Amino acid sequence: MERPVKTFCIALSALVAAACSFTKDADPPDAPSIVSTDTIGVIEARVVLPPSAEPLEAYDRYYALERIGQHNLVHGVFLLRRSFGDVDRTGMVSLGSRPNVYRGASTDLPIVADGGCAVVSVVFDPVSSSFVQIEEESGAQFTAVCNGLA
Amino acid sequence: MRLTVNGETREAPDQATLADLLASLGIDGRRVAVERNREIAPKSLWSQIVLAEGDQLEIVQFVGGG
Repeated sequence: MERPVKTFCIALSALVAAACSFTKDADPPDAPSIVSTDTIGVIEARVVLPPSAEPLEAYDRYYALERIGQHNLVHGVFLLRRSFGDVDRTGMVSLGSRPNVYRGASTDLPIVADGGCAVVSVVFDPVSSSFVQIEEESGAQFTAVCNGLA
Repeated sequence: MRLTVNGETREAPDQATLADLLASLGIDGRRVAVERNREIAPKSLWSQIVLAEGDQLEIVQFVGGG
């Protein structure tokens, strides 16, 4: 009877050690894994779309966190609904409180080449509560950018 | 001078700017954000930011959307 108990204790120790080594390298417990509803609200209240874009409500909006060093930036991808209404949303979850808004992991963000202003991107830093310039034409005046054209 | 870029050690010429570094890495700067020493470096300043020995840089390209 002693041997099974000893084996169990060894197995349990190994399990605890594995769990500890996993948590050591993982993000801190308070690190968010999805974009908060509040942050999405701030982005959508403040985003300034390029002049060639349509109103925000015409787009399905997809949000995910992108890790860069010490920052978790929010990457938003807006797809014009009438052009991309059937896009693959696998992994993205609808935000019930806000129509046509989805959030998930960055690996699940839809990827669309070209498309002009049917595809709009935005990057936001929740810590400084400011938009991050990702193209020359974005920045103070327009906080989001359209895709290129083929 | 020696820099750390996305966790890897890189050499760059003295007085190199952040824009110079990105060009040398073959990154065209579209849909890219850079963190330098834990601060997001505004794209409008990339050509003015002179890198220094030991700088820690993280570069990410936003591929979703296009």
